[in-house]
Amino acid sequence: MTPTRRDLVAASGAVLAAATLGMPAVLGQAKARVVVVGGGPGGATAAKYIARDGGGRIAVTLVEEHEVYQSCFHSNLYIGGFKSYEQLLHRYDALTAAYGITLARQRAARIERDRKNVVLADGTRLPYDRLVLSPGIDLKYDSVPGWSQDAEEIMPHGWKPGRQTLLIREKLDAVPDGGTIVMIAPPNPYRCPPGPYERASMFAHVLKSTGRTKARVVILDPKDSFSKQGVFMPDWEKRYGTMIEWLGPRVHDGIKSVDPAKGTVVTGFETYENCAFVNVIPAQMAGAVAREAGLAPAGGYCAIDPATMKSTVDPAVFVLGDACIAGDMPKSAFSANNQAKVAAMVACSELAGEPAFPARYFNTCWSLVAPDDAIKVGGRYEPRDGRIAATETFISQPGESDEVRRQTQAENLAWYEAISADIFT
Amino acid sequence: MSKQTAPDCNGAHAAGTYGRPGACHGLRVPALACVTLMLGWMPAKAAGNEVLGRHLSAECTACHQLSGQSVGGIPPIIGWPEDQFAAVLASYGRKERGGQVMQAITAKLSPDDMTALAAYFGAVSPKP
Repeated sequence: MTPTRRDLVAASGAVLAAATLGMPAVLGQAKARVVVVGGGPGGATAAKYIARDGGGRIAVTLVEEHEVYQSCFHSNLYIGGFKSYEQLLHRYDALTAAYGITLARQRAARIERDRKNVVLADGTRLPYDRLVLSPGIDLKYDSVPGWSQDAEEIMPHGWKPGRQTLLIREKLDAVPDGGTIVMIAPPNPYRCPPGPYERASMFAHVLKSTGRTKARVVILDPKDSFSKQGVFMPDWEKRYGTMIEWLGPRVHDGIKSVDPAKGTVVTGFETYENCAFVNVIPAQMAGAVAREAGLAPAGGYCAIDPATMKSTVDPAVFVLGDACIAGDMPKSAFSANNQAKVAAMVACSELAGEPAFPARYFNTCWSLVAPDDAIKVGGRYEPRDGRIAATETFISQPGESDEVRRQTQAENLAWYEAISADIFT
Repeated sequence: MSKQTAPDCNGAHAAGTYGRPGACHGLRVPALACVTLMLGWMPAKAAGNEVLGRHLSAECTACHQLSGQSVGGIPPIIGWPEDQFAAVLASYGRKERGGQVMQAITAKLSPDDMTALAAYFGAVSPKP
């Protein structure tokens, strides 16, 4: 992993070449300019590490319209009653104070890639030498027949934080004993692969612990299999008996439609009427600002160079986190934070002459199944054959001891505190 | 040392743990012997590359707080003796210490990487 002299020479050469070619006119100006769009785990981490490691030669502006970041990761723990909503909130004050990052509290309306400007909602143009896009996901509101943005209050998705997360908990609290919750799981690729199944676990936990043991959770999945399925399903049976039922497409034969007004879900196999609550988690795509910049020409997500996290369409733009196509890496906060560090290293090398190292990636996703019972999946990744490929992977096993599961949950909680500090302080 | 963070140091698969280095009460091979063996090929005072250490440390700080604060499930790793830090990483790399995450993390770390990390984190002081 140690950089060879050749790596370092190559990195220096890249800077020289860039300056000579006048691509980013970075070495001649007072400070290189990096604009980061999106203040989540990808964007905020990139802003911090570029500002910290750029040797004072890079001016970083973080474009984020919200004053407070609400983490989607661990929002299932709020739904399950294991965290307060306040524990999911993070401010940007420490980033701006400690690293000199300029915070532009606006929405990024669009990118002018030809002129290298980010245009803010009020028309202000922010010029950049390098742009970091980490806009997260947008929902495909037309991916479930009968469902729409107008219906998201009645049949909430809870896949973006804030009001939607709170709604999920409110609707869960209102489920009567004997009621049926139907969750429509999303197709790949989507934010937080184990997330729907952790959420179903939290539904069952809340129902069981409040004496509503006759209620049930039906997961209608467009996928034949899902993340950590081999661990989730035996755990569900052990913890919740028959409360959670998972049906793949071979059984339900397709999700034909939903009727928000009546609380109905129609599949090819059967119809669920008078559902206590329907949780529609739709198909997803990269945030609009990345798609509208022409960085996701096919499939809704942005292709990147696995060695640099740069867009394959535009080498002046990094795309991080849920919005990018990261090969074997899942769309997770851990991944976004990790990818941001690769992008920051590359940006600091190109713009400030800092040393470059080979890209290395890591991710772990923890999921809580029941109190003190968490499972995990993760791995190490490297650029290989034009994609980010897994080199080592690990996953929890069915039948692990209570002590192992308790320790896994302790890790999960400790990880949240550490990564929050890594991103926001 | 609390049971909570003690890894299974017998080589058995302690799947759910990160494992706390130095917490090997149940060892068949005493921890000190591990360290001593390590020292055979590693300098007693690691002279890690600072730039490399800072670079690699970014992977660690996703889970281990640089402030030294610990929430319980993941141990603090700052201010350790450098030789012990590197030796512990090496034992994860050889899968002698249990802990899926740390075994995967260390799988591709070279001895130089480990000494660089040891020097970097060894020089960090806890925040008051």
